[in-house]
Amino acid sequence: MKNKYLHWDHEPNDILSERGCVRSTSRSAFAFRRASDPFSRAPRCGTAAAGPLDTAALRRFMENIISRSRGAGARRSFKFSFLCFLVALLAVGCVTRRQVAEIVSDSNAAILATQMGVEVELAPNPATAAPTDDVARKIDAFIAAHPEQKATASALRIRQAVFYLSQKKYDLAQAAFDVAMLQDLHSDRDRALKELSPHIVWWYKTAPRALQRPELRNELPNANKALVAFQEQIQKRADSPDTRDFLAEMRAWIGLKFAEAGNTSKQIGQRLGAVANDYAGIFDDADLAWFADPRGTPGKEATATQIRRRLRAKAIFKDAMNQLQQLDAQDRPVIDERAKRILESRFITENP
Amino acid sequence: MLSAEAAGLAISITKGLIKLGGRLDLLMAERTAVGGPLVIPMPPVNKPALIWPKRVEKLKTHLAETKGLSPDPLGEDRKELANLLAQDPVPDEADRFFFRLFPELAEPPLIDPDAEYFKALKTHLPTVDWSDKDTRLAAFYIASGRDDRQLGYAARTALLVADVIAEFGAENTALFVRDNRVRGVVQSILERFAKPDLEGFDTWSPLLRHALGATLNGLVDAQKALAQENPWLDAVLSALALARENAADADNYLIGLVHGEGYPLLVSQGLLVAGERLGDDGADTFQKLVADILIHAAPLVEEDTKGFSDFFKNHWGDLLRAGLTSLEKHGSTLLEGQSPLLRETLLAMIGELAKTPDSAFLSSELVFKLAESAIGAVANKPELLKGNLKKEWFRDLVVSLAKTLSAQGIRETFTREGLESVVKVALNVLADHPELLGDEPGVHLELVNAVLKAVSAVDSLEAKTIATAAVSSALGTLANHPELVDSPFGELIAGFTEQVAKLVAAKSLTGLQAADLISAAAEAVLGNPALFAQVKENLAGAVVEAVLKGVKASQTNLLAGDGLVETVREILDVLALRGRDLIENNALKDVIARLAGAVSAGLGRAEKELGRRLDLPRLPEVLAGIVAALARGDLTELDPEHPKFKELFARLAEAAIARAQLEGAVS
Repeated sequence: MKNKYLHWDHEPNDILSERGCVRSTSRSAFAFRRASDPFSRAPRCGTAAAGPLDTAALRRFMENIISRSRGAGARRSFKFSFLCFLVALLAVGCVTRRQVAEIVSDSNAAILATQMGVEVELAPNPATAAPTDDVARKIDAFIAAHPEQKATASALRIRQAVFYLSQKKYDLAQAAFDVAMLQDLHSDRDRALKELSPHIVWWYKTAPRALQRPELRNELPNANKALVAFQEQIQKRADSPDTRDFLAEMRAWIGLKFAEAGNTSKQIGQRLGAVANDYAGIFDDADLAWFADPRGTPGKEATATQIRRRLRAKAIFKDAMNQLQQLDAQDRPVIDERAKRILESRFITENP
Repeated sequence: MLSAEAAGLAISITKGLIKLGGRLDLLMAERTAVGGPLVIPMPPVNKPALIWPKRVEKLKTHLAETKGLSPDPLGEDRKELANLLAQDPVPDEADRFFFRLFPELAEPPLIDPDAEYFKALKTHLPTVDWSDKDTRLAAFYIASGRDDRQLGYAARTALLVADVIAEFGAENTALFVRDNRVRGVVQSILERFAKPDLEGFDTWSPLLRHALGATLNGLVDAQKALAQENPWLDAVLSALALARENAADADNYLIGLVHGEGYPLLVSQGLLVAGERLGDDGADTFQKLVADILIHAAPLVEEDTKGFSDFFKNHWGDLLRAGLTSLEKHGSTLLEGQSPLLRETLLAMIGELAKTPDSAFLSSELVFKLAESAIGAVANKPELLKGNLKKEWFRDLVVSLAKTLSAQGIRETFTREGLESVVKVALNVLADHPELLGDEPGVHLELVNAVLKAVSAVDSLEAKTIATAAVSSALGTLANHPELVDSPFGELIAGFTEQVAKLVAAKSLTGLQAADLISAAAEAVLGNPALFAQVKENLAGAVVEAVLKGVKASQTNLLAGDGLVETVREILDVLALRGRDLIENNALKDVIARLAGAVSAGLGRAEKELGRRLDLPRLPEVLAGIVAALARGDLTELDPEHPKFKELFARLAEAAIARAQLEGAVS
């Protein structure tokens, strides 16, 4: 059966490889190339794949070549024709990979477009962002067309779930998480998202809501469960810093929102202290040094992961500091040395 | 002109490349999906600007500051709010008033972590072009992180290439392997190796298992090529192939062997193959016989879950039957040149053994002894081989013995060795006296059966001792006194055996004493078989019972062990000689009571006479004399202090001394 996405057209600005593949948008794009330009271009598609040609056609093709290969230079003519044929075969490659690459690219663009929409200045160019419905539809169509590709399908389901979260379609997000099979998920990021999916969906629903205290206290058990589950995953994903940092940040926001669910000022202080101390655990000495002297770029030798970790920390520690300062002195919690250094660092205390 | 061979090769290469491209495409698609970056937004957070204690404080301040204002900004809510704020702790419901009175503090602008991050990016990386979509995307990518699989995409790509090359190699083995035999092997291995999509493996263990399995299975598949010059290598490979074919998980069967599993099946199939190879048309008769046994053993090995250590012990009978069946089939050839009588006898017995399921319980030695007995019997009476008699005689012989050996009760009493030992004693007697087998060989084997059942009360060691004595005495006596063959002699011995076995079980006798008693009883019965036969109950047993009762009643310790056995022997002899009136005129229980009274009184007297005119070795003789006096009717008073009894006792004791002195002088 011919695949309906076999001939997707690329967007005008897509950079295609000489074999017609969509440019990969791999993680390495966020690595330093120069100190002033840390975001390098991603590598191009390096793999070609053949299309589904049948053997009978091949045989006819070969027979044709054989019948024409007569006289002087016949063998050279055959070799040339054969090579042309192989090149043609390889040229139509990348079909499936290209479809997946497009899904990856489009979904990321759509999610970011939704997220950045709050900042008018950076509203995405409608011409470059894929229609949001298309992303989910393409994922569904791809999985339907490749039911045997379980690892691919489950990874795409996780992506679809995140896409739905960005669209505030929480039920659809949970459904997408549910159909992604844990045994078919292999990356730390996807496995963590799957395992935390009920808590993540809950947090996406809860985070933007203005909760009066009775409601906040009603949600407290869910928050406590989420805090425990996130902490487990943070420890499990220590070898995948991007994932760990993301989970630690989300956990910190949950903790900050629910810190004031404590009965007394003392309890509120303790909850805030726990949030700050736990979150500070992901920062290394280089991070702390940069927090103390945050001039210029976030460290010339820093990796993209470190840059993100440092810059994203600001909102959390500022909010924590704001809440801690509202507590009376006797209610303030014990803050670990590492968290204290961050809270008192120039990066947090000074406005840029 | 391009040859057809070259064109075929070109097509094959092209097909391989197409496959490679298609599968590589899927693999790379998976890598893109699994390892592709993902933008995961952080949801905006809604938080009041003030924490709860500060909100309470603010409400209290507001309540105080607005007190007395007119119009009252709180209106009718004032009272309720005042009530709430007066409580400690302040109820959560008060937050409703804060949200209403200070909406800008209760719901300040959302904190958007991503927007804050983006602001920080612009501040700290001002030279980056943030209007570029790809740059913005890259700033938000979350990498996929560690992959939990042992084999990464590079390794899986290599496996994919290896797979395609293996497929190509399997299709075109002739191109690079010239030796026909090796080519077959290589082709088989490559076909197996390339069967699943190798790039689907994501851990080493199953991949290595597959590689090993492919190699082993490929070798077995290529058995014809490998074993052209070595029929036994062919046999081994055939056995492996058969075992694999019959295994539940055929593909992993050979791998299982590497892990030490599935050997019964392999050995079973090995036996089958060996049996077939041995038993082909060119094989000699003995080889055919062995082949039959091996083929019969094959399913037994497969079913045996206990391992091989006890296999032959557990399945001896099955193998014996297989051997016997085969022997019956091939026996005429094997026994060619032997005397017709011997051949006929052996074949008849083997045929019967093969038909009898319980013959499984016969050991080789027992079969040998049985054959010896049968040959002796036939030599003694050749007409046993004629007509129906032949059939019935051999059946009776084999079935009786097999039944005895297989009887559940008997097998529970004896150990395997113990049972064989007793039966061997019986067969020895029958082999020495084949005439005992007569026309109904089962009769005497039934006697063995009865004796073996009679000792069921005692443990296996004592049972063996008693049963051996009983069988030996009974059959030995019958052999030496053929006139007793049709008498109830056997039953008497079996009954007596049962009684003494009970005494042994009750610790009243030892096994050896019981064995002596049985011999004594057999001799006594021989002395007067008619007398012993006419008592419906067992007279010999009654004597033992009476003596034991007498010993107990006397409250002495004078009679035990050998003295007791000797006393019983003497009394049995006395009764054989003089007991007719006593036994015929009294009920057995009265006889027992009187005998017990005599023994008791004798022992009472003996206690006082010991060292005066009596010693212990002569006590049984004196007691037998008292019983003889009783049997004759000369003794009516069974009181040890009665003058007549005293006198009788003194006379008997003096006579015993005199006899001893006389024996001493003679010797």
